[in-house]
Amino acid sequence: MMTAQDAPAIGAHLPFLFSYRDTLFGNGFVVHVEAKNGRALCVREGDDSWWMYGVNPGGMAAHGDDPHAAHAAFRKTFSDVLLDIAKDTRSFDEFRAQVEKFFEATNAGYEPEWREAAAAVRAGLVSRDGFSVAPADSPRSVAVTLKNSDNVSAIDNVAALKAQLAQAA
Amino acid sequence: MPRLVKLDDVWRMLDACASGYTRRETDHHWIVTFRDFQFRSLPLGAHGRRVNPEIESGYVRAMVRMFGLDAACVEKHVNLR
Repeated sequence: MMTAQDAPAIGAHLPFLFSYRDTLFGNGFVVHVEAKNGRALCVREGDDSWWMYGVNPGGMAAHGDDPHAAHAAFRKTFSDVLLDIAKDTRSFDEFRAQVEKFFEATNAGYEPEWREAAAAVRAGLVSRDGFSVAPADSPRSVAVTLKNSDNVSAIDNVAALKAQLAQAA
Repeated sequence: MPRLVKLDDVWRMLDACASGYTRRETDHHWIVTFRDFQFRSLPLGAHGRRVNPEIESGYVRAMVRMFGLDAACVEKHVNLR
């Protein structure tokens, strides 16, 4: 965990790759969502808050007092968006299409900075701050699968604890 | 503490800078759609639902970037710095 002394300066950019798993109820179905290597840019803004801006999915953001808190808020927001989509859709196919559209939407406004920040991590110019590092070109995907009584298990209950976060390099 | 902006100012900004945008309230967020873009995490209010609530400016910053809105137009209505 970073301390106040070694916290990155205002304007610092941290490029992240995240992987999440969610299991949730839709209208008439139970569904599992496995998102791999989504992209987000974490920025220390001028008001001293840390913001995590989605690049893919680009249509979301969250904030916190430090990168870890910003990520925790981002993780919750991701799940809340899935819940909103589940409420809005009437079938599994519609849900899957909406989740794929959401996850693949790019925020082109942050993508160049994400790439530049990943290059800086790769060059060793940015502190890793205790995060693991993964290749910036790690394949991104979202898998949406139908669950039924044959393929549900207790492990689905802890899916939300399986968030993975790495700096892109 | 993140800078806050009034949600009504955000709507006025979108009226002026993102003509044709639409918005819809869900259980968790406002969904704002402009052209082929959809921003799904605009808060209902920094402290819950209220009349003309304030929201943290970073959400608006992210939405403005995704939509590719004109910075000079946006600055006339909301301070995102």
